[in-house]
Amino acid sequence: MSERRATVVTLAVVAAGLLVAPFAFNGDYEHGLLVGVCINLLLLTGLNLIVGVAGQISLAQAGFYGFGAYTAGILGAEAIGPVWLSVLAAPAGAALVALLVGAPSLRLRGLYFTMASLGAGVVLFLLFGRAVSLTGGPNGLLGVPMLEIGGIVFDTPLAMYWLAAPLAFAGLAFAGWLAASRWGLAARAAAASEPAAAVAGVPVFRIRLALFTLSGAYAGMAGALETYESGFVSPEPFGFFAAVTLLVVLTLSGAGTLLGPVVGALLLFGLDELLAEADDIRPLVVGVLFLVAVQALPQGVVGAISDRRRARRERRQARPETATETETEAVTA
Amino acid sequence: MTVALAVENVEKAYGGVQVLRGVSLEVRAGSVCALIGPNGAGKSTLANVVSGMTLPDSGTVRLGGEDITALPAWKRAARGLGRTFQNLELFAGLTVLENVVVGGYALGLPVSELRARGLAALERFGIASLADRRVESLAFGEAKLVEPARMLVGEPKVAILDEPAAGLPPDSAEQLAERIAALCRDGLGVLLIEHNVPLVMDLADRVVVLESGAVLADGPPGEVRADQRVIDAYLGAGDA
Repeated sequence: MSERRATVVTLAVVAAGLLVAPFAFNGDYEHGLLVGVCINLLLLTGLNLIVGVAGQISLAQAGFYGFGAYTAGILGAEAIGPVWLSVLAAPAGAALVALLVGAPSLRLRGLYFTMASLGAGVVLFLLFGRAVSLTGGPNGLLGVPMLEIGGIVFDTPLAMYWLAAPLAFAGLAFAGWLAASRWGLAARAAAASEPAAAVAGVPVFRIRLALFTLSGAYAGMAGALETYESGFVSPEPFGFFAAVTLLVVLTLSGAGTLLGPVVGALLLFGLDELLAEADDIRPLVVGVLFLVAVQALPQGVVGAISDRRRARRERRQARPETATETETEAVTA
Repeated sequence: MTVALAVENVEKAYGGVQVLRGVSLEVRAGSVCALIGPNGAGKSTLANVVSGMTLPDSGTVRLGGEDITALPAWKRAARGLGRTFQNLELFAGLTVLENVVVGGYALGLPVSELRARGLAALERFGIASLADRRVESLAFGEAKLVEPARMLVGEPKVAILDEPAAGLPPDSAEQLAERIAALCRDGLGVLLIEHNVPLVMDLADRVVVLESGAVLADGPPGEVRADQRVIDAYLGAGDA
């Protein structure tokens, strides 16, 4: 199967899954969980752009997620402009923050960039908790109104799902297109060898900054959806642990692959469900997952499966050549 | 023949070590200028200065008459300066075709067009059948050809080839030399850094010998080969 066809099939399967899911899992609670899956999908798809495609380990995604959530929440709660505008302002604002963070920090390499991104995430997290007059501080932001766009009120989890699912799907499809474009190829090339990419004409820093900014926009949109889904924003989901969890889940599911964020979103959903009553052991579980990801599945689940399929295909392609070589040897002998 | 690349009086030091001392050379369009010299003479540093991987302390690099000394590597590539590396610098995780497609990034063409050009470049180097293989699965000799093919997709006017024949068996090195000669016939100017002296003498129109960061000799191959200073410093009696 060609790569393009594989992408189309993957997207078709995801679209079908998103269409069927609210009917298969009926009820407000289940629909709320499905909205959560879509939010996670947006978050992980965005993170995949900078981690999987550009090869830069970022720990700022949870901070951008929070920035989007608070942007939407504050604009909505304070009735600054129409409510729908806050849904656009959230990704725009988070993208701007990502741009400002990325402009200096993406000049750093490897772990230094990761540390800088961690710093940005921590500063944002502290801001959410301490700018009490703006964010409500540790008690959270109350008074977020119902989301209304063009007369449609998103007042049930199912209605929110029909907003979140197309956004998550569009985000995934766009990321898939981007990864296969010359920009995506160039970013993947620069992740493998920055000097070789530079002498091939790739503006490495600009491409990474664009992808980091875009990953911020994805996180911001996820934040807006989270705000209007729960009607409340508090700092807790946007801290260091959330950033690490996102990174671990993406690595384990398959960074750099189209399907990785989808598997990751389902994995996060599973984690949330399994650990709903045992939140204390959550760091332990994430830690174990991290070890598994690093030791057993460095390419992630999806990456390992595609590598195995590719190896099998290459062996199949090599077989006729081997036969010919053997025949030639026999003739020569 | 017009001057495609000019290096004028380039100086470069790392800490207290003077690596390049007033190096000047010219590469003319459609010709090969070979840069030879013992290990540590400053050849790769000069390649890095010319390609924009490092900035010189002083001196000028001109591409087609334009001063590109202060430009970053990717802007030089966009202006027609290509380069391969002494140690393989391939994009692991990408296929052979994807590797060479990246070489055409600066052309601004859609991926489908770049793929067609990439396949043509792979054919030129005789490795089109490997297009869908991941580069990390290639044998060394095959992998060594991916870099020049990648460079070619970017339609360079000048190519810096840093030891392209290193590690290749003699017949593959000869084939490579023929391919380089063919590229020159198409108008490409080549700055060839190579230790394979017979290949250099056979291929080069001009030879520049670098020793301890300074130009020891600069002239046609026959003249340089006969230069006693070059024999003493680098060639030895065997290659002269």
